[in-house]
Amino acid sequence: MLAAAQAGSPWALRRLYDALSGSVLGFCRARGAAEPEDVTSEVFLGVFTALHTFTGDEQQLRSWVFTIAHRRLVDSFRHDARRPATTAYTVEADTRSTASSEDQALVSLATARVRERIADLPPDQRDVLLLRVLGDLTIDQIAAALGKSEGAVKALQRRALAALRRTIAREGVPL
Amino acid sequence: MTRGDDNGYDMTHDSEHDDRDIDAVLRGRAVAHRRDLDPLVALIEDARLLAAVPAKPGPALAIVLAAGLPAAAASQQPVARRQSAPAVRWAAAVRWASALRTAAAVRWSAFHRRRASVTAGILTSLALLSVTSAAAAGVLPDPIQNGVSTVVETVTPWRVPRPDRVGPEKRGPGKDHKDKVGLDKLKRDKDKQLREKQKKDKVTDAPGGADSTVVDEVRKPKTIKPDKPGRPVTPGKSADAPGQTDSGTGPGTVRDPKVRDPKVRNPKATTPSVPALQAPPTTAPTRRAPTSRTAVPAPNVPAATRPARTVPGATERKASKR
Repeated sequence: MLAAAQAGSPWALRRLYDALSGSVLGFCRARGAAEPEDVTSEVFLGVFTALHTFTGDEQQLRSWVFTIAHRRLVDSFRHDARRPATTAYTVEADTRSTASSEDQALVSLATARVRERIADLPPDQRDVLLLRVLGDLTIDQIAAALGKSEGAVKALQRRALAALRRTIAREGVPL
Repeated sequence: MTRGDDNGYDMTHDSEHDDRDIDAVLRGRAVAHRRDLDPLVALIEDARLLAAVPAKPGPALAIVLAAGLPAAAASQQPVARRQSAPAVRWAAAVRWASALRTAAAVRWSAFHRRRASVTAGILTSLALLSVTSAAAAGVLPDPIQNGVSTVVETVTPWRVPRPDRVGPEKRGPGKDHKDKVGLDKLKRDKDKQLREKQKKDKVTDAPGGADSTVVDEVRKPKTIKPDKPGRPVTPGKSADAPGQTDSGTGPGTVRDPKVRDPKVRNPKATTPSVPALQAPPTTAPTRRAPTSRTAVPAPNVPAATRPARTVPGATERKASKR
């Protein structure tokens, strides 16, 4: 499939997109992107355009896609910082998530809960945690994606989980 | 993890145990002996729900997913790519850096290529300079010295000492007065040879009974100035008479008229005895002759000016023919 996607085959590109776009979109949502689907589209356009230069297996492809996603997300944050949004993002105000599907409602609720829980985490701890959970990346892959050492990523992950436990213990058991 | 609000929830008290627990929590699995981690596992499950629904592609991405990616599009920029100003500046800086690196690599390789030729040229010049200097100092072995001298004298106007040339060059510059002394001695030797030749001719002419007028015409230069002025030597006097002591061959030596003196036949035969006084090629004996003949009146001694013709007995043969 990877070879076909590198050759530009539509079905291979579609399969690749279906396999990874949910994780990328969840990462962008949880990370607080103003327009997560736009960022996801940009990420995959970049991925498909540069796919012929990629070498590696599917797990490395996953890591590569999330590396691109993290960079695009940082770019979008910088872009939004120069042109601040007039209204803050809320799950209820997000018309794209008001579909009738029950799954999308659950996702919206989950997104709200996760965003609420991880809002107090520093950005690098959030990145590590979300890449580990949503991207299914290993410690060394996260280290490569973020440009940090494995020890630093491990420490960030430990601190993030400890902070989450403290937050949950302080606020009570969710749901 | 030593903050006061940890309340015993620090996960660093047993690192190996905690690493496994953390891994299980992050995968959404509950840890049996750590019920306190269940809220965390629930939160991770919620986070995993975020990745359950695929994203809706944008218009540009929808086109790509429907039609596929053309081969030529792989090298093109994304259609709906939003690039912030810092990203644009960064990309431009990266392009400039790569261009500079390429240019530096090209220049470095060109310098490497030129450096080899420049080094070879410098080494060759140094070698030539050292060989020429050694030749000018005359310290090279004789064959090499000859070769280098020939080349240098051919190519340049300078003169380099050479072992096969015995003369002033061998002794080096700044010794002209010695050269002059040597040349004077050479002149004296040549004059002496001329006198001996004339004596010999006279001796050979006398017993033959040749016509004295013809011989006298040929021998008209009777007065040959010796080295010491005031003592002219006149042929026919007692000192030059046959059988008498020859002043040129030393006292007590009786000269046999039939014995041919090799010095007379070949005036250059005297040169090996005085190698240091040999004239250089530029001052050949033929060109120096007028200087040496200043003591001898030129019209009176035509035979003396042409040593090659002064073969003993030539006048006798002429007289007998007549």
